[in-house]
Amino acid sequence: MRVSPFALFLGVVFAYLVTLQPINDSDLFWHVETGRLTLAGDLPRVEVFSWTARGEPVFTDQWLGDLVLAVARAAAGWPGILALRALAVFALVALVVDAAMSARPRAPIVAAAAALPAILLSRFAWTDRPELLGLVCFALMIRLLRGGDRELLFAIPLLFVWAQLHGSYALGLGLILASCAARAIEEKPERWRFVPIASFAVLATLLGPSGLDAWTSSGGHFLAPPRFIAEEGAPDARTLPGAFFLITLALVIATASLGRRATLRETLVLVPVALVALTATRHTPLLAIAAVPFFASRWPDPIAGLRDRSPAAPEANLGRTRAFLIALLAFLPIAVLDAHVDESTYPRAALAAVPEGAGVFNQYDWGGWLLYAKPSTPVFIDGRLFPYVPDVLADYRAIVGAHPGWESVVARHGVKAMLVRPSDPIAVRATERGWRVAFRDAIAVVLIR
Amino acid sequence: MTRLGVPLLVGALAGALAAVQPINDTDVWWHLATGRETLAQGIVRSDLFSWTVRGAPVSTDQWLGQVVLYLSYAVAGWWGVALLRVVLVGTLIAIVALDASGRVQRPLAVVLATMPALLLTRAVAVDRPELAGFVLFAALLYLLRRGRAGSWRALVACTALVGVWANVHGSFALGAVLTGFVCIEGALRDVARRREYIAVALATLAVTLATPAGIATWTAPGSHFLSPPRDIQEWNVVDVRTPLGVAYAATLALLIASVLAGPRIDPREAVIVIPVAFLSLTAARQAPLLAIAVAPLFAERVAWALAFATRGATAQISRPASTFLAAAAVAIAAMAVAIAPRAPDERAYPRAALDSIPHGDGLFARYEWGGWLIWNAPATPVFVDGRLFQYRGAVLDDYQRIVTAKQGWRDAVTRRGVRALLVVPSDPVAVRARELGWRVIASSEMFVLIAAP
Repeated sequence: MRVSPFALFLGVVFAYLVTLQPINDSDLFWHVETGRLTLAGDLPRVEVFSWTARGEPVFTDQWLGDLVLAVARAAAGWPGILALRALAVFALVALVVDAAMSARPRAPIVAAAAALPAILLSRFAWTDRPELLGLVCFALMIRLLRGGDRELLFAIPLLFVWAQLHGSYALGLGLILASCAARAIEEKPERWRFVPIASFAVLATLLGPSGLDAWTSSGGHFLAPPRFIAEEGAPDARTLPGAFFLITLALVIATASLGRRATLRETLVLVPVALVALTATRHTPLLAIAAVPFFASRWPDPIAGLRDRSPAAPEANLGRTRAFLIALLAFLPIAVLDAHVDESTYPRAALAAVPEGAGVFNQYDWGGWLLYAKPSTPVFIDGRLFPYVPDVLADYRAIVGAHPGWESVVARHGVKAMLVRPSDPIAVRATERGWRVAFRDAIAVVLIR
Repeated sequence: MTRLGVPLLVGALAGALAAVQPINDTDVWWHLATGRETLAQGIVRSDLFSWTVRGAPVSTDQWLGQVVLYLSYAVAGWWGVALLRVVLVGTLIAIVALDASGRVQRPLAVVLATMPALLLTRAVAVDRPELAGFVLFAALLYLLRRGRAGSWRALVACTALVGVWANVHGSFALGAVLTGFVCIEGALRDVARRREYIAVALATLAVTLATPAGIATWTAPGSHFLSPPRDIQEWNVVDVRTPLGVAYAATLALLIASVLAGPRIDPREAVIVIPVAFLSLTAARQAPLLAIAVAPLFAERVAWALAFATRGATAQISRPASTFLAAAAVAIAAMAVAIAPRAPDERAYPRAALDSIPHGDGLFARYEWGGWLIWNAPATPVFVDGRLFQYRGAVLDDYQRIVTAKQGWRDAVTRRGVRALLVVPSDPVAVRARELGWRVIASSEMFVLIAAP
């Protein structure tokens, strides 16, 4: 598969731009810690970081993604994490733009315009999580599924790797099955050859450490997304990602209404992806990525007339472009060199006042960071969410919101200290009910019973 | 007549389904009270029902809808309110089916194409002017499609319809915008009729201003669109985990599949479908708009699929069969009239507290009980109610602060001069007030009435 220099160029540009973003994702820390345990040969199959769900089974569906993050961190510290993010964004943008360029060769303006919704929407997922690697796999899958038999076969090992990286692989399997179905309908002779391909695709998703359980995480997110988490909420047109998504959806309908008819394969990719994208804000980039070749192959080229009069693009320029790209890439280590964690939203100053051992109730958003910053204090809850659903999560919400009966929940769990925000209702109520304030600043308050 | 049989029957069935629903909408009460005041004293331009924003300007964009609602109540009591709903729902679905039957002859295709609208409009089959807005939306699309096909009278009727709509409900803005889009597209495409289209577009814009509120008529739809109150369930985004969300997602998926696959659709439909699809994604209450708008497209696709499946065999409905369907529709409509509720369902309201609540200013009651109190306890003005926009800002902030017992809630109670709280026993403020020893005047499993010191 030959990648266009223009796609590589844009990939490098966005890789640089993404290094300007700080390292502060609340989930990064538990991914790295999980990966660190895996790297030490101890893949966590049961909960080890919290005191509320200790010993409960946990998902292993992102073990490879966690491992990659941990390796990057172990190899180069936080610059390693930033370099991994830059590399993933480079791959994602390059794949997306290249998909557009291959659908519309010699029309870089159309390709860039077609790729723009995907870049804008995926930008909200350019964080240090396996999810970003899942998006790269998705973009590559879209690229492969537009090809022939060879590409379809390559899609199976990709799906296998994806299934170890992130739970979004389930969509990849759905797309392979849809593509097989479409091609079986379109290519009547030898249609049965798609049956083993589809079967191997299903098998590839079951070969991870979780086996059949690998589907639990994907199914749980799809059927019961935790709506109180912003990125799991339904797309909202009032937000920037929601507005971009709506525009993308409108563009799909407009392009389909006014442009050339879609093929069966395109239809069987775009319709399910649109449905999945509707389910949660974090899934909205999927539609934009899937629609890139569809847009690129149908949108008019504003400079087509000019280009037709100009001589053919000189192949010799490719050498210079590649040299330029290599020079740009050489500067990437400089961009990531001084990477560090931005802890401005985390309660670093409060840590000294937080007691060690079990019994500390913490803000959900700080759980992942806490298990990295103070490993001697197990967390009440953190961003892994599913080990805590439904009981611990319900108790967390009752306590942090100071709902009626919160004191009995605190007593039942044996909470001895709280690390919460000063604006949390519990911070006010617990103080009124006689909890001692051990630390307080603009970010956090530590309350001791 | 052959075209009318199926729409009448589907409409009658929808009306019968609407008749089964109880009268329990939280907003019907203040709509009725406003309609009554409008008939008694003229259009209500400032707040009459609350003690927190008394005298503040209020939106008049639904005055005609409220008057019609109150008249139905005045004529036949709660049965009249229910019958109005039955008629509106029946008319809405009948128009959708009629629009769907415009280009297809197969009755099954018309029925199947109408199903998404039937399912999605169940959520908006409530006793509010909003329901009339949906009927007018469906009627406008029918007229726009006829107008686009060459009927000058249909285009003129669009202007008149939007003129009425602007006095019934804020959703008229969508009608005006769609009329504008269709006219712009028509003027660009059909040079011979360009003047007609331009005249209709300008006249439609003008009639939206010929309302009691003048240019301010656009304020309510504008603020609802740009800043929907997400705290209210129906104004939240469509959630595909809910039954409504599933029906909506299926409709949207069918739309995308319809435009991607099969015979090419009329490109002029994009002028209607794209803005409606966009709007339908902004809030759950807008979701039915999509199903209403795409019914003709679905009918074409289903007819195409049926023709493909039956190898081109035609399936038109005969005149006697259509007459029979119309007669069945009349019978079903009569049944709907008979089963329509004759009293409101007040199980969600604190009726037992009515005798104990103090008269005059100072009662803090739950948001969703505000409208009911306006109607049932006129001597006790409300703190807040479903009219929402007039309370946005300080009043709504204080409401949230007090009901959830957030930091500073006691200051808010004192500053506002709250004398009593009428809330649910599990509300944080009820728990806190009891902990503080505030006197409980009356209570039940549903409510607690607490005197503020």
